[in-house]
Amino acid sequence: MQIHIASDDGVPIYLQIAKQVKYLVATGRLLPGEEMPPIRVLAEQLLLNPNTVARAYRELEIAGIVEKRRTAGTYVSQRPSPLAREERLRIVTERVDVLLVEARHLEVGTDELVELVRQRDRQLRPSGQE
Amino acid sequence: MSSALETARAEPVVVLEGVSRQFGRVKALDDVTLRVPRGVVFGLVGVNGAGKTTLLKHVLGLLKPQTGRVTVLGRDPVADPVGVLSRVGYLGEENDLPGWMRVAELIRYMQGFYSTWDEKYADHLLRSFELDPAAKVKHLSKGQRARAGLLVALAYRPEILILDDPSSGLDPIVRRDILGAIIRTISEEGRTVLFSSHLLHEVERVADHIALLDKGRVVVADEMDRFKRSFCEVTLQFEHPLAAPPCFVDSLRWQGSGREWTAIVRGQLDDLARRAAAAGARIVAQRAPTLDEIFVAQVGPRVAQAEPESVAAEE
Amino acid sequence: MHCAIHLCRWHFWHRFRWWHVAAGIDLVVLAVLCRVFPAEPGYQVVALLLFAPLPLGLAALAGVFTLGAGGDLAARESMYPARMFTLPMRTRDLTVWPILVGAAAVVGAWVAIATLVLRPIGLAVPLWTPGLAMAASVAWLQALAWCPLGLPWLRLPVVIGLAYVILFGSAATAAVSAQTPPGEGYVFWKSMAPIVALVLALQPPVACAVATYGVSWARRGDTPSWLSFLADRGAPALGAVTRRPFRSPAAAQFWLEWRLYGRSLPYAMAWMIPVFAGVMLVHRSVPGSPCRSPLLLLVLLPLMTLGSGAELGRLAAQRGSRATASFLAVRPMREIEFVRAKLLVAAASVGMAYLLAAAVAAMLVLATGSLAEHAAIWQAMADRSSPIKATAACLLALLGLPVLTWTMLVKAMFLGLGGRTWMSAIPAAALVLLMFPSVWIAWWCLADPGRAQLLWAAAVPLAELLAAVKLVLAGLVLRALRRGAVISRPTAVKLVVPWAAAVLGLLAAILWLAPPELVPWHVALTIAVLVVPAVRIGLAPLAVRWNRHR
Repeated sequence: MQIHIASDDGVPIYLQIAKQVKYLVATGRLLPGEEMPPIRVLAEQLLLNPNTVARAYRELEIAGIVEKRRTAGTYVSQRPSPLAREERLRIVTERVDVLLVEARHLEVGTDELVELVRQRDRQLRPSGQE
Repeated sequence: MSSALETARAEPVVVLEGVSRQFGRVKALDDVTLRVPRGVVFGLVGVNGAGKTTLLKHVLGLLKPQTGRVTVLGRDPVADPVGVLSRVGYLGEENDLPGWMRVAELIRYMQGFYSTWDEKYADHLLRSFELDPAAKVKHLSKGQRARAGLLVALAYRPEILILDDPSSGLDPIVRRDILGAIIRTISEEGRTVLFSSHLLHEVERVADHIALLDKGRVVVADEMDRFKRSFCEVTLQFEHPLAAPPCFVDSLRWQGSGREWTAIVRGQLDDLARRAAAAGARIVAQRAPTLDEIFVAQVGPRVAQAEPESVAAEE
Repeated sequence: MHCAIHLCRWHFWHRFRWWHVAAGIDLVVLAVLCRVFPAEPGYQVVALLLFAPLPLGLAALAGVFTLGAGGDLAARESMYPARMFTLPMRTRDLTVWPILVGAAAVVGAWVAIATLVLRPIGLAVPLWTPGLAMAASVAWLQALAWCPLGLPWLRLPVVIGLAYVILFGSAATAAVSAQTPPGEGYVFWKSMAPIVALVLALQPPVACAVATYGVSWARRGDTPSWLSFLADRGAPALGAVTRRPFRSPAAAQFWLEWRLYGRSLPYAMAWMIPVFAGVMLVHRSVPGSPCRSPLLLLVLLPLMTLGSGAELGRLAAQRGSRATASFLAVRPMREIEFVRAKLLVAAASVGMAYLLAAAVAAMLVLATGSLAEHAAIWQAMADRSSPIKATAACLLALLGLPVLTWTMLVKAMFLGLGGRTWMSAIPAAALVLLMFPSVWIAWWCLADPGRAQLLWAAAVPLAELLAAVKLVLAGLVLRALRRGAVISRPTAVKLVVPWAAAVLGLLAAILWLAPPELVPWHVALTIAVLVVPAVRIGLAPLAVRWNRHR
């Protein structure tokens, strides 16, 4: 499980971990029912305080992304999380915000932008698909 | 029985109350009060000469407090050095291991002092640190010496691990070893780590509690999360340009010119918005500062100094 | 060139300016005294005795001119301070200037002493030769200290050998030249004087050359290793991975102290033996010379500890380092156990050196066939009193020597264990301070023989007073140890009982062996109390505590 912590970010570390785990689950890199690494192991791997990792796991548990089984450890939830869709939308919204700011700077109008998106989608789609 | 154990668990392992220490005319510690709870990683930060090493020496009993009291694991380290030091592991900043000893001899010597020595763990550390048992300490590189010192401080699983600026001058791989050791120690029930450092990004990752020392005084002592949450970097835009930095309570290190001024301020966002409005400004940007920025703001110079005009003109 | 002058000015003048001032005042006072008192034999003897500790002063000077004698005398590496290798000076300048300045300073000092102090009181000492001899010794000591040698522990006996040569040479010269009326030896010596002076004057330049060669090796970072072909084969076996762990902290600390300090005395004795054997054989071939007996080797042992005694009194983890190591201060060990390890190591060290000396002395006695001579001495003693007493006295002397050596090693420990540099300077300061009153008293006695009798009569009550003071101090120290919980009650008992037994035993021995009219019981008691150490050993754990918790 590849998690990257940016200490310059200003975002609390446990939130960074939680966010990245949510992303991994949302994009299917972590499958439902898969085992999460134990807190101690992840803490040693990332060189973080175990309490921080524990807090991240708690956040994920509250959000329903993972579940703690009594003796066996922490696992990704089986039931499809309703937040998966929300998470994906949130990530794309962030990208859209960045794009809009850029466009505004470079004086490209919103309608032109939408047209550009449609054009690129047509070009990037493999031929035969519609 | 369990309640006694719980009380023991709840008591702080290291307590300094009103400790002061003067060396000649220099006040190294000025009325320092600090409590280190059990089972945490406690980070001590401060500039060089702020009093971190002096404080740690008081905890070890190497210095007697001129005023105040020091209690470690319920005992006075000066009155009962054996009781305290047999449960404390220490890795100092200076190169103190005897150079003539071989690594194996060093291990054998240290083993004689601690009844809780774990031979298997020592062997495991010897292999994972890649130390040559027959090598003399003076022929080891700085990083290897740090690893050797760490090995003999960890092998008897001390209740408190005290590290005085452990990463100074060491390469990233050794620093990872040290951080890994800190985390493994803290993962074990009831053990505490107290370390001083000025590598703030490391302190940020690993410490639960933080204490900031400046000129011998404890400026801040708090839990890491609470501490970081209480600071905010805001950029204020004033209606009219200002010649001098504005004056806000609890603000540190103003930077900027004209209409826009940035500072790290202590307080909640809505409270800041009100105060800004009262001063005739509005918040245009805000973010959570890193520990490094808070530190520099807290103990650095008050206002960012500009270079004198004559020097700039010559260039 | 001005770099070199700056170096010398800083290291030899500025760092020790207070010592220079003290020495200057010293000299002026002595000069005045020597002009005041008459030039009679008694006064001359006293004036000469004033300079009896000159070898110690010479050693101190050597330490100064060696640019700080910090560093390990027994190591292979050069003792030249490595931080000076980064100065913008040639190696030649780094060595030649200190040696020449040192030689000039020593010669100048001797000339000043001779003209201002010794000659006015009538002692016709040579003006140049002793100064040149001392300058040559200092120069060679410097060169020896700065050259890296291929064998560890080699420097120690070479230095001792050199010291022996100096002592022997100066004693012989003084004896020969003090003969009045001048004998044959004196005339011979006088005629040889210019040649000797020339040879001596050439020593510093030769020493410079040797030192430059050695220091250039050190500056390159090379250390010769004459046994390198042995080294790395055997080393892995010494890795000590398979050795059994220590049974207790005391055993571990004993091992550490032994590795640090325990081997110097046996090694020094081992290296001394050939030198002694050579000298003794030479003496035996000269009839009528005093140092004939191989048993003198045993007497050498206490004399050798005069130098190495200071080593034990340190809380350091490296040889040659005076700084208190926090490595040791953080050991979970009580102060009394620190001191106990040092006492045991001192005992083991002395024991080993003494056994070696005794075995060699016995062999030499048998080899030189002087068993009959020694038996004759014993017979004379037996005739005087009784065979049993004679045997007992011999045994007491034989066993007393190592015990005396041990007490000498151990008594001075507390000064260094305190960890403050001014404490280590106390013996030197005391020696200097005691010099003037004792000189004054000696001259006062010489002026009127009756006063000497008075002083002698007063000596005994004074000694008794000293013994009483010592007992009181011992009691105070014991109380301090108990109050500070440094020792427990059973330990206190375990310390006091053997001390009392030692005092009583010694008392009994003295009373039995010495004739009662010479040594009445109270004098014997005073001697016993003063000889057995108590106060200074008792202060050692307190000093460790003072050092550890600053």
